[in-house]
Amino acid sequence: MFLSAGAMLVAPFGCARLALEGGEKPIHIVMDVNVRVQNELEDFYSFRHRADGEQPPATMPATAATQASAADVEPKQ
Amino acid sequence: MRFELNKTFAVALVVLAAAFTFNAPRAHAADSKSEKAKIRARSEARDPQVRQLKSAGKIGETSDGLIEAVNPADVDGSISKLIDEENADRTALYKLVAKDQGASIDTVARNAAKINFRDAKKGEWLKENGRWRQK
Repeated sequence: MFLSAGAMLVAPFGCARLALEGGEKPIHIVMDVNVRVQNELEDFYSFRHRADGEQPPATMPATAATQASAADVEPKQ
Repeated sequence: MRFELNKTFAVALVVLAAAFTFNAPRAHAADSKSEKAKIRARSEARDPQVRQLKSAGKIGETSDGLIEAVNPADVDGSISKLIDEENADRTALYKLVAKDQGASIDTVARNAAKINFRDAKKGEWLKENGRWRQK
């Protein structure tokens, strides 16, 4: 009961934690966040390109930036 | 008998706690999506006026992902109001995106500024490192 109460407090704030080994890994993770943010913003502002009669720029798949690091990084949930 | 009731009560409490725990993120996601939709509707409605003011050289994009009057003495009350409303919506959007993507608000704002600078038309004003320049 106390465990579930504790889980109730912690779980909404929980997120995937990545175990990092080696100094080079964070670069891939930072890139992935920027790609996801850019994709969301591009999607949000797509109305600007429609108003111009243009095609919105192609968004980058966020998974592409993480493929190189996926083998070495263990997502903890 | 009392032990059985307590056990039942404890199980019910665990089930309720689990239901709340697993549904809370989904509830937040739904709220975030509807908030973004509202912001987008307002931004889209405001967009023609923002474009016109940018073309006229009255306002420009900044490296903080916001808009600003190029020459504050050159804008009247209605333009100031539009700038404030647009910036309030952009700030709210950046907060939502930051929360959803696990990024800082600063990261989102910088990425937005990059997009805004890229999409700026030739001759429009851009503010970077405190200095205005024309694209």
